[in-house]
Amino acid sequence: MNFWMVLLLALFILWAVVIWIQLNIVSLISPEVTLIVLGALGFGLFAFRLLANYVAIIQAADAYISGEAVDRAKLSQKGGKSEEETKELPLSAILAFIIAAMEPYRYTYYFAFTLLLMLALALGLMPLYNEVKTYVEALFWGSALTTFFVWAFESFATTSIEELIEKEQQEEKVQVSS
Amino acid sequence: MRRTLTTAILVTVLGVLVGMGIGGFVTYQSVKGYVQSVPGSPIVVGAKYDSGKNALVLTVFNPGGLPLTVINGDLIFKPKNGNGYALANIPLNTVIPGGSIVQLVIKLKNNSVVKEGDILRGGFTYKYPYIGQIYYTNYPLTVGKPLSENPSEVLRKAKEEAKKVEASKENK
Repeated sequence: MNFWMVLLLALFILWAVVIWIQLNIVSLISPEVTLIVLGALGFGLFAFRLLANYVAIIQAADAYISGEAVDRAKLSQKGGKSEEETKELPLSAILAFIIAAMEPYRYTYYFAFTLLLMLALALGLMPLYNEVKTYVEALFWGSALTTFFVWAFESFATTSIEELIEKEQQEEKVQVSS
Repeated sequence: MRRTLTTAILVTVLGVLVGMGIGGFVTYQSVKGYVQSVPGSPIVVGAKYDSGKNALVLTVFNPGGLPLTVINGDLIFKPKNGNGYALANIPLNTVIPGGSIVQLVIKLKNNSVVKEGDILRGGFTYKYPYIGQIYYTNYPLTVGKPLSENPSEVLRKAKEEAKKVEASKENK
C-alpha cells in the first residue's frame, strides 16, 4: 500500500466514525454503548500482543513477496529464536515460529472470551437480573468486536505465510532449473 | 492467491455478522429505553360479571412502558327493566406495570339482581408517575356477553383497522 492509499483509507475511516458519532450521539452516552467500548478496549489490551505480531507477520510476508528487505533478526527474536538458529531457515519458518510463540497468548485470549460468552449466555437463560444481563451482554459485544479483529488478523497471517511458502517454492524451482 | 480471497470473504461475512449483532443490540437497547418511557392507554381485554362475588371483573392490559396507578373505580348498573344506580369513587389503588395485565374487581350493591341483557358500565381513573393528569376510561358490559381477548391479538387487530382507515383516506 502506498502513502496516498493509506491516507485515503484513514480519511474514509475518520469520516465514517464522525458520521457514526453524529448518528448515535444520544446512544453514545448510554451505559450499554459505554460498556461496548470498554469491553472492546479492555480485551484489546490483552489482544495487543497478538495483533502486533500478526501485523508484523503480514508485513514481513508482503515485503518479501514484493522483493523488499526483511529484518530477519527482529523477526526471529519475536519467535523466541536467536539469529544463529534461524540462519539456514527460510523466512516462512521464522514467521511460523512467531505463530507458535503466540499460541499460549492466543489460547488464553480465546479462553477469556469464551468465559464471557458463557456468562452472558447463562445470565440470558435466567429469568432475573435484567440490568446485569444487559450490561454483561454489552461487554460481550465489545469483546466480540476485538475478538473478530484478532481472528481476522490471525487468518490473514496464516494465509500470508502460505502465500510466502508458495513464493519460496517458485524461487527454489527457478534456482534448480538455472 | 485464491486462499487470500477466501479468507477475505470469510472475514467479511463474519464482520457483517458481528456488526449486525452489535448494531442490533444497541438499537434494541435504545428502542427499549424509548418504549419504557411511553405512557400507554389501558385496554380492557376481559370483562365479566362474577355472580359468586356479585362483582364486575375487568381485566386490564397496560400496553405502554410506564406503570400506571389505578386510583378509583365507578360503576353504573342499568337493568333492562326498572331503575338502576351508579356507584362512584370505589378505591382500587392498583399498580399495573408496563406491558402487564391486572384484574380489577368492582363490587355491586349487595341486593342488586343482575339478569342477562343488563348493562354494567365499569370505569376507573388512573395516573402515571410524575405526569400530573388524571385519566378516566370505562367499559360497558352487557351481562351474558363476557369479553375475553388476547392482548397481542387486540393490538394486532387495532393496527390492521388503523391501516384500513388510512387506506380509505387515501382512496378519497
